[in-house]
Amino acid sequence: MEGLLTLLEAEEARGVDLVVIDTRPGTHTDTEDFCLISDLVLIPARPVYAEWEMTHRAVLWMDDLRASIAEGERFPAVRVLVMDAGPKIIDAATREGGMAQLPKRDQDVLQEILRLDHLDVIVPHSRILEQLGYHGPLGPAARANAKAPGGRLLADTITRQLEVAELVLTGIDEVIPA
Amino acid sequence: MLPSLRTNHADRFCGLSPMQACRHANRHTGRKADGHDCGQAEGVLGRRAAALRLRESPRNMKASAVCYNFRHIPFDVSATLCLNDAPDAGRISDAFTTASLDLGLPAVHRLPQRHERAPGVGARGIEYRLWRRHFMQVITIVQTKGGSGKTTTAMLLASAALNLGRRVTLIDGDVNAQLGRWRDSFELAA
Repeated sequence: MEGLLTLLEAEEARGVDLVVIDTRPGTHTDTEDFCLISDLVLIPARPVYAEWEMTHRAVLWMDDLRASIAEGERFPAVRVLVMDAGPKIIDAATREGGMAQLPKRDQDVLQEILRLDHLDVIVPHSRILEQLGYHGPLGPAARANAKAPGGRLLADTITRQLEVAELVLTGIDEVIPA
Repeated sequence: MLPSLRTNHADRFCGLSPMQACRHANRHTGRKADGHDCGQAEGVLGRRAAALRLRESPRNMKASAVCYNFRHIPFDVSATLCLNDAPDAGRISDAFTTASLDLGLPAVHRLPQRHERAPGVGARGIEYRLWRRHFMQVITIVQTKGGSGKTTTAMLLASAALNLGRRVTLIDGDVNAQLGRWRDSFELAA
């Protein structure tokens, strides 16, 4: 923990204004340490029945962690981010009457997720998400594709994904102002 | 609109709420969206979406001339993307796994129950409140399930922040170190 705090202090002194910590699956102490020094804990959740139980478990874990620290100590904001949502899910969350288009089971899951503290942005399903490891950072990838022969359409797709990513960042800025 | 969704973002996204803006950004799904969405006829949009789907399929990418590896592309590095640049090396996840073992903590932590906690003391007796920052945001991405998009979310956030000219540090707390490899690949190209 001391090492992490030292690292973060050094990063801030270097002018870094955003630190993103990726953690491993499961409930581990190192993940809890990461959470406790954070401003925001983000729980990505696919709005499907098969994953709802684990999402709920992660939220309960954070509640337990909050309860385990002393009263008055700072605790990060916890937000669920709806990821990888299909068009029907986006319709259901954004349009009047859209919920009726979903099967009952998916309706229940979406409603439960939206009852939790969530970011006001949904990340839509996209093949670009699956290929992020291949594309690298999206801005340079979009520019490189735009220059490549025949790469304009892919560049457009990457750019739209980047727009979504910037919306997520904007949502985060509302929760924890920079 | 569900009551839990806020709608006070009209100015920021040209009159669109973030959800609508999401739809706007996701117009390649081919679904006809709101009237102000993409300003294209549905037929054109449909054909374009079909072309995009075709273009995006991995098989097509492998065969087409646009198949590229970002290591070979000269990136315009607008910000610092780094992972644990401490001189004593090692991924931070390694360092923390070791630290946890040194402290004798179990690999899978059981949270102290309420009656076991001393008042005024944190879960592990560490004074987290001493940690204060001035301007830096620290975001931890957590999910108990594997394959739920944690690393993808981290990559997305890093991409967006880099594109906005912010300085970003990625810390890979996953023993698989996928994020670290992603960053390493990017750095090779820089």
